[in-house]
Amino acid sequence: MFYIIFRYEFKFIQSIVDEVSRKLNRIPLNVATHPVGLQSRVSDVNSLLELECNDVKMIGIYGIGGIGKTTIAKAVYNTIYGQFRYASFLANVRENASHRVGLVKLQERLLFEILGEKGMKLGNVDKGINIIKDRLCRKRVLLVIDNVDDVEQLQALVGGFDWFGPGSRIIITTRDKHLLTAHEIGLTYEVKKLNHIESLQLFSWNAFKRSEPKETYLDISNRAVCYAEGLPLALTILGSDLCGRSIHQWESALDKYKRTPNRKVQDILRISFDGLEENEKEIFLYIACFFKGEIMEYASKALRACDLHPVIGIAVLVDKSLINLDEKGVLSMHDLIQDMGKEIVRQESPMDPGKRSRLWYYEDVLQVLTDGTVIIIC
Amino acid sequence: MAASSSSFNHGYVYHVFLSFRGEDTRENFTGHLYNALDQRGINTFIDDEGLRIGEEISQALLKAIEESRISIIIFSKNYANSTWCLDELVKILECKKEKGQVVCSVFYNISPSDVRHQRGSYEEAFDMLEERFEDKKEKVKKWRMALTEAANLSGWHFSNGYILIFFNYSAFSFFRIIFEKLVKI
Repeated sequence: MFYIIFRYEFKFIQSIVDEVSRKLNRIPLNVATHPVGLQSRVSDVNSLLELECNDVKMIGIYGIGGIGKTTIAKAVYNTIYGQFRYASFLANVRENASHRVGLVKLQERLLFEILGEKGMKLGNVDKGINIIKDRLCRKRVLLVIDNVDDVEQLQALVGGFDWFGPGSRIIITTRDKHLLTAHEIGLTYEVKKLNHIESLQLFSWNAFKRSEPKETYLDISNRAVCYAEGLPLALTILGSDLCGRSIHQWESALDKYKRTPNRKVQDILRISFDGLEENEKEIFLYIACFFKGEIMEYASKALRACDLHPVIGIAVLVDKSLINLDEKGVLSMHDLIQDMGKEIVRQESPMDPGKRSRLWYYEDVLQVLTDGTVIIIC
Repeated sequence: MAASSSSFNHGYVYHVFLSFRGEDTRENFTGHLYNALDQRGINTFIDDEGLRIGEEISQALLKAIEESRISIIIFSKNYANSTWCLDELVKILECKKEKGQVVCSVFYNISPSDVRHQRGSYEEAFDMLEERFEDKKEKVKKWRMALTEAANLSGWHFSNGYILIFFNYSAFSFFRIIFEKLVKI
């Protein structure tokens, strides 16, 4: 008799341990180090979600690049995912879905994260749609589809309210509000810029590691904050950049910015790039063009082969908030910063790709190779 | 606003916090569960008796609950007899609400509905508590509500009932059916 009870209890305990480790595998996402103004925005979204309601709800978070949509979505996900048995955060959809195969891969990832079944092969998007619908329509899921830029992506991943079980919540972030309208998402949340006080706070946390500027830097901080126009990304970059630089260096950097014609966000991010040493500049450009999303070890190896010093270089870039290293050692970088990096390389020779220092776009590569303007030395 | 990121970021020390009545389950079920979690590399907080001195629940215990990702509450016969257990439970549900802590219940040889409606041994426990805390009616009410809420969460129900039934019948075929069922669970 003892044996049977023991077996029973043993199995019972195993099932608890299995469930616990399944839950633990859903690790909370890394959110901004200095979440200034985040609490109120997260609460706004949470109240829109009405978790107690048993309908399926899709909500769209929209706003310009660098305003903090992904950060808000991550923070919301972290506060509520514990209340869902099935949850998944699909990051960087825009980037990962750039071709049809990419969409299928995203569908597979969605199913894998929710159902935990390995090695699902969907074949094509339409088949993927049917399987998602079939497998999830009775499950209460929490899904975040981050950074969408094409209705096609929504159609492939979250095509209809009837795809998901009662009580499901789908959160979509995008720069393009029309996309939400086109997909008939009525619930939307526009991410507002930070106000001046919040801006100054976020800037100061990055520049001075405290909530307000140092006395002597008060004036220049106020000016820098105005240029950042309430964009958390720009504030973080500018703040991290000022940290450890003299006022004079900064005055000239801001003056230069003042003279640029249309003052895009990229131009303000550029201030930080311009202040880098040669080694860091090179490493930054390599990462922007080739190593975003790669493991640091791998990138370092390649960079060392280019006679660069990746250990110190990457550390500096992380300090300047230009790149991030997640807990798994993967290099990441905000889209706008990556665009800036690629633009710098493109500007080396806008018309003739053969004269640029780096090529990442296959058509450019093809053109250069067929023109015979380069000789490959193996 | 303080720019502390703890509420959105990890900031966890333990994977799992176990809330249980020591005299009921420490030597058996909870002990086994702890070992099984530990073997799988899941960092689990299990208190030692030292933390339970005096009337009030200790700060160390409250902190451990806050620093855990998941809480598992093991309801057993005498769980509600202990004010520490009940205070733990209130704290756990607070963390669930505020920080999205994941909470699961195990009903160990007790029916979820007894916990939900405070019947059976829980009724006896509350009779005593109501007498003891006559001047703190709010506190007792809070405990009751916490039990009801926790019993409504997803959980596992463990009962030795099957095995007792089997021994009353003691028929071989029945033994086999039940045995196979148990092994499959």
